[in-house]
Amino acid sequence: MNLKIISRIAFHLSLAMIFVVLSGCRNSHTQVAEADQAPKPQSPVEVKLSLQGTPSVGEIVRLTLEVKPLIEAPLIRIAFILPEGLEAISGEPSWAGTLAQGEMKTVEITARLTIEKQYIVQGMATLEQQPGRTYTAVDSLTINLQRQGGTVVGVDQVQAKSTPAVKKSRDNRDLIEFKGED
Amino acid sequence: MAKTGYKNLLTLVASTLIIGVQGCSDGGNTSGNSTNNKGSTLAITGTVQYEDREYNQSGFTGQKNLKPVRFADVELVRNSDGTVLGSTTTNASGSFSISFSNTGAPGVYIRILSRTNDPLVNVEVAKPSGTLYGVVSNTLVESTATSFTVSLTAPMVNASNEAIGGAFHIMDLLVSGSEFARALTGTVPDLVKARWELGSTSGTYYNSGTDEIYILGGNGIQQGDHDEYDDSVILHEYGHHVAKHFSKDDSPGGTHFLSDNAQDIRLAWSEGWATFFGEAVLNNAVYIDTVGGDPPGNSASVIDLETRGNGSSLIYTTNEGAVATVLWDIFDQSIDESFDAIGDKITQIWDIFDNALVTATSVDMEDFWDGWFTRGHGLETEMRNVTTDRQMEFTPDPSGSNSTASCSTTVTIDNSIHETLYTSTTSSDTDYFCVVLSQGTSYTLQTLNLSNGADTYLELLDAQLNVLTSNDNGTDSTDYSQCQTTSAPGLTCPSNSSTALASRLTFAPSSTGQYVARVTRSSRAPQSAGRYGSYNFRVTTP
Repeated sequence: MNLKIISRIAFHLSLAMIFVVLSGCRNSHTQVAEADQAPKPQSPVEVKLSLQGTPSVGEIVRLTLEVKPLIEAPLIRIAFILPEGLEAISGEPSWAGTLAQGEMKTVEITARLTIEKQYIVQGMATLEQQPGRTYTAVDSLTINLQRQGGTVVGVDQVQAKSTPAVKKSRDNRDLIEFKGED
Repeated sequence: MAKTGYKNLLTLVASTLIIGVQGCSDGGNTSGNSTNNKGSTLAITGTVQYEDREYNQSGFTGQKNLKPVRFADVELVRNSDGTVLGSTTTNASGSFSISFSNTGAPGVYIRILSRTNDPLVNVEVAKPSGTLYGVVSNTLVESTATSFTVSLTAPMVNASNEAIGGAFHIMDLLVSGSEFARALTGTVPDLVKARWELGSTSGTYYNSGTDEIYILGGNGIQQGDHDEYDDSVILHEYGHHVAKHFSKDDSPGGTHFLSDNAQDIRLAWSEGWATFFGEAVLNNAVYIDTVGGDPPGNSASVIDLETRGNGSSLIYTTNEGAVATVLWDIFDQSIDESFDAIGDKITQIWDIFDNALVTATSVDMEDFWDGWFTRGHGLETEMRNVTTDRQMEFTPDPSGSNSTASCSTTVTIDNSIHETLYTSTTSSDTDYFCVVLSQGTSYTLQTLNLSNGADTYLELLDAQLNVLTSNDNGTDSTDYSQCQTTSAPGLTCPSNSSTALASRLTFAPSSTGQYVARVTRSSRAPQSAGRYGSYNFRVTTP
C-alpha cells in the first residue's frame, strides 16, 4: 500500500475535522402500536427540545423547551440541563408551576458554546401529581463541535463508543470482549 | 502522519507479541504459583461482579456498588486460536472454578458471557444486533502457575468509556425474574433475549413474537432515558414474557400511559400485571423509571403502589396502575390499611394467572376477579374492599336490585342513578328503570359517566315491555365489535372514557304513563371494553 496516498487521504480527512452536526439523537418514547410489542409505561408529559442558530465555538444559540402535560399538572418542574462548556446567557433555565391538561409551556434560553466538544443538552420535565405519583420525561439533543480524527477537546461526558474493544465470533455468534477490571 | 501511525502500529504489535510471549498477566486481577505446566491439568477459580448504579425516587444518586454476576457462562479460551478449552457457569455468588489442560500454544484467558447455560435460568443479553457481551481476564500463562485466581468486574463504563455493566445488570434482573417464576411453578421460564447497548433509542418493550426485550440505551451514560439500571422497568417487561408463557395476554400493545383511566381493559390488565410482577420480584412497592444521569441531571417517574393520597388518580379496571395496585395489595404482607385486610397471597394470584386466565376469551381484570372465586380462594369481602378502593365495582346492582321489570327502581326526572353491569352469575346483567313520562314532553334518557369498561345498550319499553326505541353509542353508529381484529384491522377500538360508549335517546310519549328503560351490555361491545362496568342512568327534559 502506498503510504503517500494513505497519508494524503488522512490529511484531507483531517482538514474536514471540525464539523458541526446537529444530530438530534433523541430518545424515542413511542413505539409502533403492534399487538406483539408491549412498551414500558410512558409519562403523560410531552417534552420537545430544539435549537436555533448555527452552532460553533464562541457562538450563541437559542434553546427552546416545549412541555405539555397530558393530564392536569398541579406542579410541574421544567429545566434545561446544560453540559460543561455551554453557558447560559439569558432566558429561563428552569421553571415550576401549574399547567392544565394539554396546556403548553415554552421556556427558552440563549447560551454560548465555549469549547470544542460534543455537547449533549437535556430538557427535562417532572410532573408531581400527588405523593407517590411523579412522571418525568426528557428530551436531548447533541451538538457536535469536536474534531474528528484529531484531539478531542474538553470531553467531560462518557459517550457510547461505536467501536468495541475486541469483536469475535463464537459458534457463529458475534461477541464483544471487554477487559474486566479488578 | 500516516507513516507515523504505521510506525506506531508496528510498535504496538511488537509490544503485544512481547507481552504474549512473556505471558505477562498485566494487572492485579490474576495470581498464581510459578511452574512449568504445559499439558497438565490446571485449575482456575474466580469471582465475577458487575457495577450496579444506585437510584432512588429522585433518580440516580451517583453511587455505585458491586453485585455478583450470577449463573453466567464462563469460558476458558486459548489465546492463540480462540479454542474454548472448558466452560462452566458462575454460581449465585458470582464464583466459579474450572480445570483445564492446554496442549496447544500457551496462554489462556477467562471469558464471562452475558448468557447462561445453567438449566435453571434461561436468559441472555446482547446488543440489538445480537452480539453478546463478554468480560475477559488478562492472559494466564500456564508456565507461570499451577493454579490461578481471577477476579473480574464489569464496570458501568471502563477506562475506554465502553459501557458493559448495564448488560450484566439486565441479566441479573432477568435471573431474579426467572427464579421468582420458577419458585411458583417449578418450571423454568422459556428463554428471554434482552437487547441493549448504550445509545440504543429503539425504546424499551417486550416483543412477544420473538421473546425479546429491547431496552433503551439513552443518549450517553448521563443523558436521556436509559433503562439498563432500572429494575422496575426491566422486570416489568419480563412480566410480559412470563404472562405469555404461563398465562394468556390479549393486550393490543402500543403506547400507554400510567395515568390513563380509560385504557383498553385488556391492555390495563397486561400492563398492570407486568408492573405488579416486577415489583413482586423486587419485593418493593415503588416503581421507578429513572431518566437523565447522576445529580444534578437526575430525575425519575415514580409510582408507589402503596400510596393513595387524596383524589388518588389510578382507578378502574381500565387503568394499569389500578390493576397493579390491587394485585400488590393482595400480594404484600401489609394489611394495616383500612381497605387492605388481605395479603401474602402470591400463590393464589399465580393460581389464577396460570390456571384461570388461560381459559378466558379475552384476559382482563374482570377475569382475574372471576377466577379468584371460581378457583375457590374466597375472601370476598376483603377482595371487594381492595378493588373498591381503586373504584373497581364488582358489585351487583349497587342502587338496589333492578334485574327484573318489576319497577323496584323508579327514576325521577333529572336524578341520576348509579348502576353496574356486574353479575356474579354466568348470565349477563340487565337493569330496569321505571319512569313516568308525560304526553307532550320530550325526554332524554341516557347512560353517562361510564367507567370500568362499561358499554351500555339502552332501550325504552312501554308498560307491556314492548320496545319503543333504543340506542347503543349515541350518535356513533359504528359497530366496534370487530375493532382491531383481523375482520376490521383498521378500525380503532374506542376509548373506555365516560362518554364514548354511552347511550342516549330522546322520546316524546304519545300518552302519559309508566315506561321502562332497560340497560344491558351492548351486543356490539368492542373487546377493548369490559363485560361488566359502571354507569349512571338519568332522564332529563328535554
